[in-house]
Amino acid sequence: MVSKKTGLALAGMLAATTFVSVGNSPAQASSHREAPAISQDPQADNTDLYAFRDATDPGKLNIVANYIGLEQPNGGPNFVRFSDDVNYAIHVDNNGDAADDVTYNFRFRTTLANPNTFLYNTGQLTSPTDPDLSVRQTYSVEKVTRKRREVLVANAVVPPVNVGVRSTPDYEAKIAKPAVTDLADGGKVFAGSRKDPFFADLGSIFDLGALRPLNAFHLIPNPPNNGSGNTGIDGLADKNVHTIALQVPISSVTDGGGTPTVVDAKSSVVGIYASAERQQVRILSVDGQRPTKNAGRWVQVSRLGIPLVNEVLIPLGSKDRWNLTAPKDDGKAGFFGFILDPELTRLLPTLYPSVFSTANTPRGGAENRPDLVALVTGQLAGLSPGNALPPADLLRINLASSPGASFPNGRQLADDVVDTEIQVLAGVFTDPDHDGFINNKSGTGSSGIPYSALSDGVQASDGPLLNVFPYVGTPFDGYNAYSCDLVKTCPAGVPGPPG
Amino acid sequence: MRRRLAVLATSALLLTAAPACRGSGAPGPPSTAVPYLQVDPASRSATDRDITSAQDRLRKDLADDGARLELANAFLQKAREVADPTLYTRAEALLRTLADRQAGDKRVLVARTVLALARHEFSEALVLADRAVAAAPGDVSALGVKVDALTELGRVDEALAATQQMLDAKPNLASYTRASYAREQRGDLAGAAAAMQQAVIAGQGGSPENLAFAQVQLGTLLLTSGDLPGADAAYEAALATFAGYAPARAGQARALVARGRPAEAAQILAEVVSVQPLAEYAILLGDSLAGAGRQDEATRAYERVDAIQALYAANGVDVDLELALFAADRRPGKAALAQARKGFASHPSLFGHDVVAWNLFKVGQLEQAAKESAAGLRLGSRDPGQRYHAAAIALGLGQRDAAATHLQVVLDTNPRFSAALVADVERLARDLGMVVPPPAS
Repeated sequence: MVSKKTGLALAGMLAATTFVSVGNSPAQASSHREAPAISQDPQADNTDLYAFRDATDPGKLNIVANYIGLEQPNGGPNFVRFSDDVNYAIHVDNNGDAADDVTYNFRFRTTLANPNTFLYNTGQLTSPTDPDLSVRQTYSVEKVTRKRREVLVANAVVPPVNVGVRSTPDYEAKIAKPAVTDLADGGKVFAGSRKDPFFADLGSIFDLGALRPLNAFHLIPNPPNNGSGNTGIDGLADKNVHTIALQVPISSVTDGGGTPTVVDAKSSVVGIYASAERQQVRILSVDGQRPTKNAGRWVQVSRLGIPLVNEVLIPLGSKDRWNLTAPKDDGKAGFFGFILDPELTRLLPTLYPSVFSTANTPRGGAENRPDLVALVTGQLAGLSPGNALPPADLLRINLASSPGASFPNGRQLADDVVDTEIQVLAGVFTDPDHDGFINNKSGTGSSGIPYSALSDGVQASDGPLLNVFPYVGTPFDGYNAYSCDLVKTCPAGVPGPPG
Repeated sequence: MRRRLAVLATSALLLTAAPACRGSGAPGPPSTAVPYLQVDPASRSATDRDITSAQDRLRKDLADDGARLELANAFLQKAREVADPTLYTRAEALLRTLADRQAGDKRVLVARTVLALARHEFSEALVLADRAVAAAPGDVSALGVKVDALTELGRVDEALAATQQMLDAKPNLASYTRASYAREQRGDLAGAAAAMQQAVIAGQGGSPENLAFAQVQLGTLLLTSGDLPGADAAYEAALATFAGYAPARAGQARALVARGRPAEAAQILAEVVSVQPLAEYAILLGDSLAGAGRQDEATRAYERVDAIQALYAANGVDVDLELALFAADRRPGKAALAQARKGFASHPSLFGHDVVAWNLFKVGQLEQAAKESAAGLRLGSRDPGQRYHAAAIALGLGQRDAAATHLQVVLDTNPRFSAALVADVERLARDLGMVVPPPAS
């Protein structure tokens, strides 16, 4: 049996922000008032961040920030939308100090065009601003640099969600594409519903860190013939997400406004993170007595730089503090300790006792994990050790690299970051004999299992990407994307849970 | 829905026969047995799905403490939704095992605090909450349960500081709702409604029950502010969020009482009590029937209160204070006062002061009553019930100006806060030369 300590630690560690936890706290046992203690906030939940140079226009940089995870396409009549009370932001550090140099703020405004219906739309929709749309959303994009604050667009339109074949036929061409909006500085923007491009076997990873392809090696060897064999099951299949996609000229985000050409130069690498902020409230006014209604400053409630840092490396008890902290303060706040001594790595010998041991698993700490140090200092984005940047949880991208560069040099929409990170955490880069195989348990020769076999078994999203901006694929529609997660028997042809 | 709740009620009664062994007395041998709950497989409720999934995992591996914790939290959430106190007993069994194995885990500590709060073991709750805060500094759920414990223990300044800390760390439904309550206790109804509105917005897309909770609170704040249409809209929104949500139906009944239509309120409440047997609703039902002049039926509704409270007591929920307030109006006397004092000893909140004050008034100890009432109102609450008590006590002492000041708040907020007390409020107003405004339509 799995050790008890390990069990809870692991379950907690893998509780990603996308994976909603139950709210709790009994309310009305009687007169005293208990508000919920644990509160979900999917609208302010930053689920993924991508950054890649544009393949057709290499002078442009694409940044994609996704919010509101695990959306069911058939979520009517109250379809999920961006929140009017959240400031969504994309932050860029261009001089290596991990602090914001360029920030893009996205603020949304919802209007109820037709308050007399419970329906999202009262007729077929043929454009993003179709009169039959009852709930409309627009947004502004503001660019803030150290010198100025500039509104890049004031009333961009969020296209309606992909309701279904009757409401939204020809969705991409008629509704989504026309909502791509040009920006004042030569860029463009899209904000709206998309197919979530992320893919991972949530069901198995959650179940005590199990990787279905390695079922036989797990501490609790599950019979592989449980309906899925050893193939992974994508927990994001059928799920949509809300995307903010930004395309900007590279010269508009670099320090000094140039376009980098030398790969091994500090100035070629920018560090990016996305966030969501809500407004703080002062309960009492400044004199401490007279209550006030004024809302206060913006407080960061969610952030994302390097994928899965929050989900896999930050312990549950520190997540609120981590989400509140800016990447430039990661060191001061003590978060590198978690990042450079990953709990998952420490658990490998317990979870996969026939594969890992303390002898063949990297120990934690900066001195033992030069690979993770390289990850957080931009060295995996093409910088030599002499040009390493200060450590920070930022998605770093080298703007002099080719547009095809993939994670951890930026991140493409199709990158399999789960497999990459499992392999990195297990020590593929610190492998003493560099043969690509996990050493045997005494740490001397090869065990016969290559690091590349460490995989959740899910290699791609179930929805195709677009070949034009915003690149993130068409969202599944509510009529066809019938999800049978909730029922035991799935109709023929509908992918469902095994067994 | 009906069928499932009927089953629940039956299981609740079965568990009454064997009360839970609790903290007092020698602890029994730790058991890892899981109190599995039969869940309707067709249910589409997220909480039922959480219960099913956690139970499935535990059936596979009893050592899966992650699943055990999720199941405990799902039971605590379901208790919010269906008002079945035996779910606390189920949660407790799971949490005792976890308390042994995972003593320092913040999530276990928060869940144990939630359970202690639900059972009105507030001192115990504060100890656990402090441990949770120490285990996870800056964690908002740990701070949230600490705020609740401090509030119920009457340590209002510390509660305020912890609430502000929550808001600084993470503005979300959990912190906005507590900010709202902090303002409400200080008499800032508009500020409280504004913060609750922020909670409602921040709760979109999250747990439906949690969002509905905030919507109901908003409705009640608007009702007390005299905005009846606003209250109606908030209660309706809560019902759209969480179908059949009992607190929202009870809110609609309160709005009907405020409109001077207690008979219609009673109709709603009879239905609410049949699906969610909570003492609070049985009392509201009795009050509405009494207000409608149907005394016999009111008496029968009040009789249910004792049976319901016995069930809660059997599942470890300490409700002395609530019963003592009920008793002050129904069967005042030394016994009721003693119960109030006993309740106050473990629950010395602002509300606790009010309950003791009202019981003192009923036995004629006016000076003491005035002191307790003032303590309950020391932050400036505009709660019409508390203000009515304060007005009656002040008038009893011959302090007409003070009585008029308190009663003015009642008239400005909601003079029909209790269907059973409408005539009493009118009498008090007449004695003070004041007039209760006619109900809004």
